[in-house]
Amino acid sequence: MRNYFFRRFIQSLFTIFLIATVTFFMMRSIPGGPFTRERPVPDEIMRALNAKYNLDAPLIVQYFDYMKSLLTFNLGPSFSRVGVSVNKLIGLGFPATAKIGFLAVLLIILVGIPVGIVSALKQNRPVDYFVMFMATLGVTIPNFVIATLYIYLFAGKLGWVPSFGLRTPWAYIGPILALSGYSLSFVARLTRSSMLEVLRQDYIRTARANGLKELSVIGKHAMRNALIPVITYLGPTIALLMTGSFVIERIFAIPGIGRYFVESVSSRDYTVIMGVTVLYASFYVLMIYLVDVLYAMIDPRIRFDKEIP
Amino acid sequence: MSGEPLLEVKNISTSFFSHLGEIQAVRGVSFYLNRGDVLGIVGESGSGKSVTALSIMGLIEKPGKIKQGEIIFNGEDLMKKSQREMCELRGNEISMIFQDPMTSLNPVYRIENQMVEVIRYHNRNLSRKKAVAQAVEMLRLVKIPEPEKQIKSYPHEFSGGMRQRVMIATALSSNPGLLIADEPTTALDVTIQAQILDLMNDLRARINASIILITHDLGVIAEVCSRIIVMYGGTIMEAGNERDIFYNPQNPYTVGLHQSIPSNLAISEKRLVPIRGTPPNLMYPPKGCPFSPRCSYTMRICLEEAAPTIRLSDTHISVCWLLHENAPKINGYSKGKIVDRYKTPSGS
Amino acid sequence: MPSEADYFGFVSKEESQNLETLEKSLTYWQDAWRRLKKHKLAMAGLAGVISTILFAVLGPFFSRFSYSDQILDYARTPPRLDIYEVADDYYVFLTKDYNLLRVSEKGEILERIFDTNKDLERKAYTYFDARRGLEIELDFSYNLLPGKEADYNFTLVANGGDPITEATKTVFNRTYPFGSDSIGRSILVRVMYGARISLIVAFVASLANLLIGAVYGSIAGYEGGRTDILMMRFVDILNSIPLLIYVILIMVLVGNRGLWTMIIALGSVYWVTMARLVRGQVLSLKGQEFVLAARALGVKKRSIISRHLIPNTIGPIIISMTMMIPRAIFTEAFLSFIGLGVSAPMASWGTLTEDALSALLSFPYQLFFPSMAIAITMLSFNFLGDGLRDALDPRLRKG
Ligand SMILES: Nc1ncnc2c1ncn2[C@@H]1O[C@H](COP(=O)(O)OP(=O)(O)OP(=O)(O)O)[C@@H](O)[C@H]1O
Ligand SMILES: [Mg+2]
Repeated sequence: MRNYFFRRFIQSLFTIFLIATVTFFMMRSIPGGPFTRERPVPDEIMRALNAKYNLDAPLIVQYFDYMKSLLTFNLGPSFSRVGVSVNKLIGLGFPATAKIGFLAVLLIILVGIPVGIVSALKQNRPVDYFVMFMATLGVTIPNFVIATLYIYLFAGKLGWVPSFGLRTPWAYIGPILALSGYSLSFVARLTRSSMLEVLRQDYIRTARANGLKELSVIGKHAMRNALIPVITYLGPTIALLMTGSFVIERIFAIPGIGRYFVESVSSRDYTVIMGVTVLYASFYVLMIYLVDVLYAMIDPRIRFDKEIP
Repeated sequence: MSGEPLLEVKNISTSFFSHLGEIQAVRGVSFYLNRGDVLGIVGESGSGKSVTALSIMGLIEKPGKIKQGEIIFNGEDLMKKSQREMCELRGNEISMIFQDPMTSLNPVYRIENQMVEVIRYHNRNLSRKKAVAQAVEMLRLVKIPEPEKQIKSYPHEFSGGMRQRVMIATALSSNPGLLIADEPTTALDVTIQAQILDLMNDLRARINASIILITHDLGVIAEVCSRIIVMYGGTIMEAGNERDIFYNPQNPYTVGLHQSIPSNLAISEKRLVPIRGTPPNLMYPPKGCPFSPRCSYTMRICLEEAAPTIRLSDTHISVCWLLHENAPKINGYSKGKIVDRYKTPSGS
Repeated sequence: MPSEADYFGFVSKEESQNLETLEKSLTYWQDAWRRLKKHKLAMAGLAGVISTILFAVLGPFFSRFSYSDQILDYARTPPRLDIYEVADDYYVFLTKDYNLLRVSEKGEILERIFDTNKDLERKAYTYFDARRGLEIELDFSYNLLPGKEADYNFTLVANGGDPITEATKTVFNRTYPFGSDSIGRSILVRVMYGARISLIVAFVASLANLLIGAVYGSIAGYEGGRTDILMMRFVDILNSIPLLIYVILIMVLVGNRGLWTMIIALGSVYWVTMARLVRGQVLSLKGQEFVLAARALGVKKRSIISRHLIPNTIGPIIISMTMMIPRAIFTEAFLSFIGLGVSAPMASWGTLTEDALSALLSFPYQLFFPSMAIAITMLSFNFLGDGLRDALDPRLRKG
């Protein structure tokens, strides 16, 4: 089993390497280069800038330089914010993004899963209908709509919460709800359907035929199997919450990584785009790796089934 | 005829209410089982055998419902028992094993964990260690090699035959009075089938349990069963002891079953003839005899009215219009007396 | 009434099998359609999808504005108008920018009445309708300047008469049923055109994904062996990448923010699920050819194709298409929202919501309608997809 984890880890590193490479060449193939502005920059300055940021070196040299600095977790300088490094920007944005993200994940796990289970056990009862109705709304209404409606209602009409920033504890509610809305609903739906599917399985009938109490049938035999797909979904979702934060941070004016990313997209700040992309992608790959590890621990079959020569 | 009745099933009907309509899976089935006997239930796929068994176990789930009938086990009506009382009973006095051993064990727990849980659930004073010892003992009884070691395995590390043995070991660990085996060998290959059947027969003698053996293969039950019920379309077609069903079948459906299986007991020199047509749609069961669309001797009345139960001997009944005194005489079929199907436990 | 003897007469095979043939005549698709019809939410979803498409395709033909027609004078009118009767049969509406519009009693906007004098200090404007010789004075200093608390925000005085503080009535905006935006374009019309863009992007991108996925999947499945393993490895890698980021990168890379950029970005990335699905089907199809060969002439080919192949392949593809389309709509909206959408004056639902965001608190209706359009469409597709899954899933057929 250790062997399997190790091989998956190497695979993940390879994927990250591929991502960094593809991202690098994609960004470098943008016509015009990072200093092209509406108003043409004088040749002199352009040359100086290119020299300063090592852009006059051959592409392949630049590539190796970039990879080398990546190895030391150095993402280079920002092109549009003079004198600020990408690391610094990310460091600035990280606390806010992480706080919101962590709370959203907590909400998804602590609410989404139990609600889904209750809904499955009360299938076709009012509770189930209510939960599924809410969850369907949650997966169909885009998060930016939820966020703006929230601001309109609670910040604008009622004035209960500030409409931007994270200065009071109350201010967290909106961003967390908007950020987790989709995944929370999805997890609830997924847990429910996975639970219903598991409850149809033969081994559940066996457990019942052996006289086990419902508590054990559900809590032990059904639960562990039902959570497998949920965990599979949760890993990448936790990472994707970060992309969700692009919009949320913009709407709620939260100074997080997502907002810097969106700003860098509109100002074509390539190093920031590249840095954040590589960072997110690595995080994502890492989460998928963790899920695989967790998965193998929950489901003993995996350790054998997934061993493709 | 040995002993007093352990189980009496009286006129049960079970339906599933899907959003497309009511599926009448079992329609008025009655039979009984004496202590120490082995009762065979045969019938094609979809004839309602499993649903009958699950009804006895009290394991019919939504959208299913037992609409009517009585199930008397050890003198008590199981239909009147609460869910909790049924839990006490299941796995303790009545055990059941299922068709597909590959999927009937929980894939994420070790065999030990699953067996010990059941053993300790029904015997709460037992220490964990003793429960493990008992589980190992049961595994040895079902002839699992090196049970002390194998008990630590996960289900996927076992073959189908081994898993079925584990299922049997678990089911028998509390010395149940009744074991319901729902096609225990269908998913296994032929040599393993024989071994499992032998094992069950052997264990029955040892712990004096009664068995209901469900199968769609007449050949399987020939040697083990003292009495046999033939089911079709959710109803009983014929019931009798081994001699009745194998050497003197009195229902075109039973005859059809014989002809469709390779058997050295009955009409062995003849070619195999599959029964033509498909089983009835239980959502709209035919209003007459469910077999009439496929029968070779369909009479007008067969399409119009459900067939009467006809007694042929002390042990033998058949549900068929052909045995009615007014029906034309057909070679191989005799005439008998109509009896009230619900008052007469079939086969008595 | 047949006699006793008739009852016990044998019947022909045809007659005895009548009942049976009646029951099984339903084909797969009839059966699926029957199931779908019983699924109320799915039918609601289907109705929603069809009306959205009609709304997008036909809607603009019934409207007098085009998506880029702007009437600056009529900017920012809400869908409901509080109108004031300042003279006999002379109704006006005051926008939040203090533009005074003459409207009909029914809610049509007739003309703008221009201001002749603006006193920003005293917060009092004067408007003059030269044709009718009507001078209207507006005082909106209430609740804005100290010492002028009142339960109204402004008063209107026509030709020196009594100040009017309360709206005569509230009517629907006939000219702009969904209101108008900051440069006086009809939001209804823009939502209709937005529907076109959003739906075109979603459909074309999903079709592209379907095509790429199907080709990729069938090559992998058909070739098998090492090709298959390699191709599926690549799919695994793609699957472990946050694709949305790559859509963003592609959009940044292409630079030009047109319809096709969006379609290319969305259509080239999300085909992984489809490739997996098609590969699986092709693999099982290969298995079925063996079955065909083995059964030689015994089983009708047509019945195998109609019973197994089509249900097993088309079903999942249709289902996954109905799931892919709302996802594409969502992603398009998301991209527009972070500033990567189609460029003005074209509009998609996403860019419409984005435009509305800045003035959310004062003009919520500008956000409400495009958001509702997105939500309703997503909801419809989701319901339809759920229903289709139930209806087409062959596993449930036995029941
Ligand atoms: N949970 C359920 N929901 C709906 N219909 C059901 C359900 N369980 C069984 N049925 C229906 O009841 C009928 C009888 O099923 P049953 O499982 O008893 O057949 P069987 O004789 O055991 O067949 P097999 O040999 O295939 O096990 C079938 O038509 C089946 O479709
Ligand atoms: Mg069965």
